[in-house]
Amino acid sequence: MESETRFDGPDDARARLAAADLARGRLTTGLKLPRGLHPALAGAVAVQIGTAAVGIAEQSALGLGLLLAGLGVFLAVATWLLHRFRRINGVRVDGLTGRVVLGTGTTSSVAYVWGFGGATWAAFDSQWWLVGLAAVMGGVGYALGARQWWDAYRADPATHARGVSPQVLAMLALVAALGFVVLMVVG
Amino acid sequence: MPDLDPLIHAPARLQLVTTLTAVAEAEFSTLREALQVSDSVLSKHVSALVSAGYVRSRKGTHEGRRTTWVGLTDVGRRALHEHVAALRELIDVVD
Repeated sequence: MESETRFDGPDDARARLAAADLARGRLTTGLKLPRGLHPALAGAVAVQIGTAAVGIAEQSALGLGLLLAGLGVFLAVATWLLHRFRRINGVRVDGLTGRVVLGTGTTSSVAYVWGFGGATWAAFDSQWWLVGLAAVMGGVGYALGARQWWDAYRADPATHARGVSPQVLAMLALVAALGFVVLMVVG
Repeated sequence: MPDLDPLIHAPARLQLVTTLTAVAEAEFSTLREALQVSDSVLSKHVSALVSAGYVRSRKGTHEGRRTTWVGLTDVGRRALHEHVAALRELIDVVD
């Protein structure tokens, strides 16, 4: 330990920083996304958008059930993907959680809002093919946002690693559940 | 000379906390492979940094076996930031 803490000036400082970056690089370059993450995520989001749009337009208990079922599919797929990532790599990255579950990031958010808005409008107008198209577009855009985050993370892991913690996610899930209860009571 | 943090100045500890900036938490053997150290060396450094509040560890499972998960605390993140800034300052002074 004595020799490890001795310090030999600027060259030593450079070497220590380089070795630390190298160690972090060894970890991050070895990380892999679960096979089929992007198609699975795109599909789950498309299902969620489509069922939510139809459910809202239906304005009935059946519609609400459809909406909740779609949300359940999305949450199940997202949870499975995050579990697979952790199992494959032996790490948890909160940035990935934020991108996969909450769609944080410009591309995912914009794609989701446009997809959801378009699908809902189309559902009220009973244009079912347009509901499907908007849902698929929203899902693909959402998955594209996750892909962009992954590329950015691989290039600069320290900057992009942080995101939403499991505690915050649990709180958001609780708030969402309360929101649904309120909607059901008021509706 | 800028203030260097003796707790993370040793190369293995600097590598450990730097590596942890890339993740929320990492499983023990994953960290060991990234740092290329033995179980005992990593365990010793993790214990010292946990005692200092720089790192947190918890028992958990990975691939069906019991293991330890390690993550950087906010205190550790700040300490690393200041230590790296001090090292860069040293390099800049000479350059």
